Amino acid sequence: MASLIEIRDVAKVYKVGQEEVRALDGVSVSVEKSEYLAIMGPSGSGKSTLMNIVGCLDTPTSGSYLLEGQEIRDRSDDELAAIRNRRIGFVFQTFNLLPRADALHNVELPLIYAGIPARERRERAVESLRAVGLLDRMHHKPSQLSGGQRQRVAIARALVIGPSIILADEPTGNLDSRTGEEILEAFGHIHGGGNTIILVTHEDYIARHAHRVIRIRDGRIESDERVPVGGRQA
Amino acid sequence: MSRFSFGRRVAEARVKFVEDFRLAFGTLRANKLRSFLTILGTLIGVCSIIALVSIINGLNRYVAKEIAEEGSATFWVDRFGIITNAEEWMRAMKRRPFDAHDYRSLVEGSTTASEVTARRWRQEGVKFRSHRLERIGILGVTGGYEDTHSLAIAEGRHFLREEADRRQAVVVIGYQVRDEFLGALDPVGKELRIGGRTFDVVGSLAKRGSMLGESQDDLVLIPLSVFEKSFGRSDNLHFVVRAADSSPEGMETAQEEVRAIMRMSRGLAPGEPDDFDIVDSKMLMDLYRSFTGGFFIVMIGIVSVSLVVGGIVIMNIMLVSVTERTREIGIRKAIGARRSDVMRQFLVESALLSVAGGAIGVALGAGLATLIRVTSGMPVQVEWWSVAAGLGLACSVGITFGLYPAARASRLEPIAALRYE
Repeated sequence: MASLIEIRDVAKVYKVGQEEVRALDGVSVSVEKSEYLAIMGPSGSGKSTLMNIVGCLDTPTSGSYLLEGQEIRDRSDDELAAIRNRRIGFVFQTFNLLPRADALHNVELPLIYAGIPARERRERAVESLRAVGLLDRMHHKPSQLSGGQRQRVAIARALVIGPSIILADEPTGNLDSRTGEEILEAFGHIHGGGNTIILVTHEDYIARHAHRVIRIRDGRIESDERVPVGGRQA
Repeated sequence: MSRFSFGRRVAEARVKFVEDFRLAFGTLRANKLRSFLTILGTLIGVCSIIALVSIINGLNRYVAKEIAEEGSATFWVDRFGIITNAEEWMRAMKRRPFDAHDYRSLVEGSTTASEVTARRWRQEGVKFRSHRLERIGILGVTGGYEDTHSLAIAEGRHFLREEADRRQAVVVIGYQVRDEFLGALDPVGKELRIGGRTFDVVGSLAKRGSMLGESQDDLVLIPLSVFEKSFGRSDNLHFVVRAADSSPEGMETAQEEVRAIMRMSRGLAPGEPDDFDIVDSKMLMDLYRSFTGGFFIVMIGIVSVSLVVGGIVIMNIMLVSVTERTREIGIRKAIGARRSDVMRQFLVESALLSVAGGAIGVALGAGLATLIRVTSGMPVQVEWWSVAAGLGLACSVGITFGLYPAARASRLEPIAALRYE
């Protein structure tokens, strides 16, 4: 059976003025369904570029990326949008909620772009908010929610369409450590439910929640190790 | 699969469209002042369309009715005719004034006219007891004038041919004169003084209203013979002819006959141009139409300019809005908005802005039209087609000038947009 994610010899080259910057330089990774993976690396290492490519926000300059057996390179903007919509759930460091929309509407957003009718949309969004424990806050705007609550809304939004991968970029970076811990617990639950999670972070203690840690430096994979079950924090 | 896909795509498009509208309304409400300023241009443009179309059409209806009332069977023979420039005026001034001979020739010679009236006109003061009205139109007319003029009697009667022939000082008074002198009193039998002579009132006219703010009721009618005795023959004499056959062909025959009689009476040699003019209601209508046609073109120009300016303002604000909402666009794209989704979102917003401007413009324009109807008494009415045209134009302005900002929004790269602070 094909892997969920199959990245082979991917490079990403940016042109900054006259200079070429190789953000990724021959990266190969495969990720199976239901893995809980952390990508680690200092800033400028290429981990964000890798995440953008995995999340179909960006395409590789060379190499191949198969998502569920389908080649992502050379896809049109609209095809990439459709893939992001249905197969990938994003959780960002800065939450990236729409400030004028309430929690419910923020969670409904991916369903709108999937063209799902209002009634079904609402049911699914409510269900997703229930799963992150924010049912009583669904008519609050982001500005009326705490940081942890905002991130839980973002998680509900990422989950609502039932994507193949949850992609979290420093999801606890803007939260205090107790709230961050709660969010990581939430990811633990989501993973427990059979979801694939890819977590991008530069903090060791966060990476320890994952089952597999990939370290990146200067656009190359430095190490790729599975965390033994005993060594993991719950 | 493909059999269902069309229906499904329609359903999905509907879901998104509804959402776009909700969103656009929200944005409009969130920036009330800015939205209002943005739509001013469209508002003024559409307001002008509605108001001007209503006024012009009201005027058209009014003038058509007035001219029709003068009668499609009557025409005027005049030394001046329709004067549209100074040269024509100079030429007409050199013409010999009409005289009693011309009139007699017409009355005796014409076989196709059922009535010919001669008439002179001037403004004079009119006195009733100690009460005086200035600048009243004094119309000196021959007997039988009621056949060539559409003047309805309210009280009493018209003066008779015999009274005119006997140079009796009788007068028929207009509604305004009657109203100001006599109020509720019966005018018949009262005495007025005009030009140092005392006149017996034999009748009063029904109210005619005002035309373009000018009262049409501040006049009196007296026999032409008495007019000439009082004021001399210096005022322009002209003739009003009623054709026996009011069909277009009958009118033409009558006009040709009148022309021939006039040429003979005035001693014109063959080949010499007419030294008089013949005017009928159709010519007046044509003249009026050519005048308002020019007005219409000017109006289209003004409206276009304000709509284009309005469109540019909308484009400018939409570009600002796209920049402000770069991050929002990034978020939307990250979670699955296609280019077309973003494009549509912004187009709906700019279209809604301009249609909102259009709607307010329609309301204001209709209000203006009503105001004019109430104050001027002209039959000004809002034309439904102008409302449709106004809103349609507003909407297309919004879409046209929203295209570029929307395209710019749709082409934003999701990563760059997400990073935008």
